[in-house]
Amino acid sequence: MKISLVINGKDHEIDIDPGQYLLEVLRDLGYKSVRRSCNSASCGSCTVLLNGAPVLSCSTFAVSVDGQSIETVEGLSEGDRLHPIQEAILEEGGAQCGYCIPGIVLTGEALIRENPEPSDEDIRLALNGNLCRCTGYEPQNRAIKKAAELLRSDRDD
Amino acid sequence: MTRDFEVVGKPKKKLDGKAIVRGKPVYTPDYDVPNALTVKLLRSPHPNAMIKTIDFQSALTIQGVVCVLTHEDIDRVPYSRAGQGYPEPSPYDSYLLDNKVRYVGDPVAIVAATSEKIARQALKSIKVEYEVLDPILDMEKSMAEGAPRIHDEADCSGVFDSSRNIAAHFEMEIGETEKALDRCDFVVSKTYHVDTQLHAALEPHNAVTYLDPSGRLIVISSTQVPFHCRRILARILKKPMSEIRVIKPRIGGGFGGKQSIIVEPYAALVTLKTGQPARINYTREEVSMATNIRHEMKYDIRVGATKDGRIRAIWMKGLSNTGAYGEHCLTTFMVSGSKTLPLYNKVDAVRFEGDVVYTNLPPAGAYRGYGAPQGLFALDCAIDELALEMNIDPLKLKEMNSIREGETSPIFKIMGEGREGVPQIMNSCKLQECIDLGKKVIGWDKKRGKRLENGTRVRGVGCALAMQGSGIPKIDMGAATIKMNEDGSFNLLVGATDIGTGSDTILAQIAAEVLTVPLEKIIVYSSDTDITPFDVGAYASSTTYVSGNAVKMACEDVKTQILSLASSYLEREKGDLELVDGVVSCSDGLSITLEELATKHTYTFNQRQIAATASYVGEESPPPFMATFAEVEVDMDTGKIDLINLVSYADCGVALNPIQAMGQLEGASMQGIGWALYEDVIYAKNGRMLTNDFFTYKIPSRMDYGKLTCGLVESYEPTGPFGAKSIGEIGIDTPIPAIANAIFDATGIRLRQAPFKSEKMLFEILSLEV
Amino acid sequence: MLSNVSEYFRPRTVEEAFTIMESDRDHSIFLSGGTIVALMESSRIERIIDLKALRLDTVSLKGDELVIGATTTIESFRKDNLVRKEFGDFFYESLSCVGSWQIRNMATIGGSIAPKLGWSDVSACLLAVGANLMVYGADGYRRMVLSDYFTLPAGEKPLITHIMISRDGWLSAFKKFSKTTFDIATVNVALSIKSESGRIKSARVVCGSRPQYPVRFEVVESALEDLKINEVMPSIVRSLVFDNFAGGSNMLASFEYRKHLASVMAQRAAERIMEMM
Repeated sequence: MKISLVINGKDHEIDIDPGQYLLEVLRDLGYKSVRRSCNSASCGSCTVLLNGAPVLSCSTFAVSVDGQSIETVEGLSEGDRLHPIQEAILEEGGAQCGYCIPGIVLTGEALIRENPEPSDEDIRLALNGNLCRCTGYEPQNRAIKKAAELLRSDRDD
Repeated sequence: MTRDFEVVGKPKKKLDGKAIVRGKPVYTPDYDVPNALTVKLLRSPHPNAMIKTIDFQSALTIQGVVCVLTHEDIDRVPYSRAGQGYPEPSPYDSYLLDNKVRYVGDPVAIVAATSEKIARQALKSIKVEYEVLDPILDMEKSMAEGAPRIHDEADCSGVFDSSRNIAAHFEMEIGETEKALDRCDFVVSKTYHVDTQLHAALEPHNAVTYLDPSGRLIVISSTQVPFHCRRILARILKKPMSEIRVIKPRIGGGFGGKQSIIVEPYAALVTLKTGQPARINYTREEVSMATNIRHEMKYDIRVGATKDGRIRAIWMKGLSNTGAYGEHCLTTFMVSGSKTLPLYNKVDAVRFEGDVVYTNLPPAGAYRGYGAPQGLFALDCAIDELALEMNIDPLKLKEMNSIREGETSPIFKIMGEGREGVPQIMNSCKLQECIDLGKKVIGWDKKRGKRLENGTRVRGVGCALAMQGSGIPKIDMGAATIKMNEDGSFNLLVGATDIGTGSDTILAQIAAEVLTVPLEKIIVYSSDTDITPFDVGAYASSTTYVSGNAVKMACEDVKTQILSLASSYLEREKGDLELVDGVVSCSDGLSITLEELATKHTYTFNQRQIAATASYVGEESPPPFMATFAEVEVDMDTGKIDLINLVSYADCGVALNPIQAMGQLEGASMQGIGWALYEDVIYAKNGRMLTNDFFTYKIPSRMDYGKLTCGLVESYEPTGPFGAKSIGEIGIDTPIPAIANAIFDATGIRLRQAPFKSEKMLFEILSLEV
Repeated sequence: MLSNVSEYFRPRTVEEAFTIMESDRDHSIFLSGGTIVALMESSRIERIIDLKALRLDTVSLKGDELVIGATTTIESFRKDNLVRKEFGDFFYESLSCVGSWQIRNMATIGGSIAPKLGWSDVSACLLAVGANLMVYGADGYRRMVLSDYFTLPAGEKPLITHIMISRDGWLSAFKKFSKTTFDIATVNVALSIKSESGRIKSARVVCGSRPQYPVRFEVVESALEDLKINEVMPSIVRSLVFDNFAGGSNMLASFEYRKHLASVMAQRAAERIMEMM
């Protein structure tokens, strides 16, 4: 089947099998930041933004999002400049093995877009579906809070 | 103590950090190997059975199926999957494919096909006839009279007593424990039981293998032990080690689950048989039920003290469940004594003994803590219970009897890992400071015994002390090569395995510190058996201490070379020269930058490659120390146990990178919290693991804890690189006992089986009220 | 994972969707949010019928009833201004812990009911507010009570198109017990009370994840009629639920534990409702 996807602002026309999940399709197109860690929609590692909302690409059939806009973490940073969430994660030590990070960055970004001043509880709730086994969560939560402040002050400037 | 380091001790961002946050393709599944066959395994549905026939003829007729392999197609080579130094102190009781299956999930046949879909189809079409045997699904039944013999094959070796399903046995005694217990005024005699746990690293086990143009086997794998992998592949595949190369790229976590050689041989075998590249990706279900799990352990323990508050005798007898195969069986059992008992070094006598038994359950293996958390649950909680008998604050009892700087314990000499250990004196131990800080932060004196109520909820606090080790002394070796480039940068080649821990960064910091250059000047390449020098791999909390010392030594060698070369180039006495901030300068003002020096020595003057290789083996294994305090809130109406705050202060020596060190402490603590409260492995009646995915096996999420308050207390370990010890494992040792002790403080109910399930808690509460 | 999918349909009308399904029920599946399909292991399913293109994803007010399209996501439902205006924070809070944010952005209201999931928090809450369904079946459209949907005979599988909830002056509360916060309920309770002159005029008492699908406990509901709403009321609710709970044991919990938990959750839901009065 032929579908079109807008990924990080770029148009893609692709030929896929009807049963293919968005996760595989994205990886085949080279977006390797989108990762599989489980088979039960339970870990968040495969999170992408669909029209701005965090969804699980492992459980989304590619055909069902024909014509829609997808964001992966590759689209968040340009050249050598990192997105504030990415920078904050590095500063706070929020990435150890890094496997969960793309999902966390995207979900964090979606949260901040919807709620520019998220509280600690807001952050925990919004990212409760992004599991991390390495860090114990604290540095990532701090990083998102920090990035939200930075983005607010950037806007206010 | 203040130290003026430039790079070491600074919270430098990880070298691979940018690539990670940008989602770059740096993990094994991201390596596009064109035309790689997909390898999948047919697995046993029975916990114990002989394979009578395997009919895979219809599989071979499916378009796209390239080969199907059974035990009849491969050389039978007994081995241990354990990633340990050779000769491994684990039984050689595993076979790549056997004619017997010993747990639900044990591989039966290997299928290689051109796509995942076709491979699955092929698996479905294979017909296997089994002779089903009675299984042992309870470790208490393994040694019973008449129990089925799990390893009855003639060619297994290193098994303590296969007729009684005993994979390993250990006993040791110092002094006369029975007599010492008799002389005690207070004795506590209890049994503690810790259930198994899954690693749940987010990247499933996977590997890709191919033949390079000269026919060498290249293996890219998500492994903690590339060098052990190479050796074991050579053994199983009967291929010279020189024809195998193992490369570890970035990996998505290990925690010990990748300290065994599990998936690589299947893919490698397919590559050798077909000549084609092969990729094997375990599903989450396979990772859970068919790699390794934690050793379930039960301890009968007796601890005795005299009225003066001194703990005089400890007796521990353990039973450990190694599952269907014995990798890491003896060593994890020994560590549950060797890395717990020395904490209470003022005893007159101690006896530690027990058996590690086979069951028809998934094989247990290495897992962060490596036996210490299980032993500590028994030891720490028994002492906590003893304090109750003695009417003493349990923290006080533990404080009074625990080891301090300058002291030793005879256990260090007697118990190593799989063999004797080494005697050592605690050159660095800030356990007291960890206790003092932690107790203040949690509010120990204010909260203990108060049972503060909040509706149907009641709060309590508990404490636990821990130690671990830093590498395996006299056994684990790590090496480093450093070479200088003409622009004053350096390539640091280390076998050491960064599994997300940030070891690449920390080792680079050590190098940068010695060579007085900024961190950016060190280019790290690690874990490639062809290019980097040997390292045992990431386990036993060894990387900073062992590999770090190797890096330091190699860099000091290069620094000496630099000064000698500068001396002849500048025509000055070596003694008048010093290297500071990347510049060699003489006391009379003459100087040369490293870049100038290196350029000259590459092209025009005394040309040579400035480089050095150094190796390090620990003479000791200086333990990190930790004090943990847990505050819990128990809902007396539902049995739910909420973690309000977990406070852990650890002495890891000098923290070479404070952010990475904290990361290890926090991450390990969270893993311990999960194990204590949420992670529950459940088997069906036939031994099939039911909780094999994240839907059913719940690791903690962001909302599953209140506060996590970790901190580092600095000490200086003279034998460690720049004073460092280790921090990788210790965090996971204490949550279970600290939480058990807190639950007791809150409710008066002593739980001696972990994980602490809310259903169990509730029924204990209800029976108390009756 | 559905390993054998060969056809993917995106019907534009309900009739079309139903017809496609009927033409080969054995090998077809309706797809709404996708989170349930993600948990399935099947090589039998070959045809996916995607309901998203039906655009049944709006929430509107029709007279006294809130009409919710079946493919409205849980997240957009709970955050919908109309829903919050008519039902306060009941759905907003109760559904805040369904799965994760990602799952709530995908899973739909209709898709939570249709598979008759035992553990669906959505189903429990909807039962407690007396929801009705609009379904399309072999005989065309018909309206049915939600609880009847759960007891339809095995062969009858109409397509849910809308969920209707009326503003009827009831106060509702939902309590869920689970092992971790990103987890299905071990047991959940949804309680609605209509009060009059300080007494319970009528009640809807729902227990779900028993582990079976949520049901109303009519015996408890009748016993609560005319009960004075005072500080003792929640504990009466608790003992009634305890005595009348029906469910079973599974990997998550034993029957006895569920029964106990359900009674405690019911008491807490009753306490919450009293706070709202």
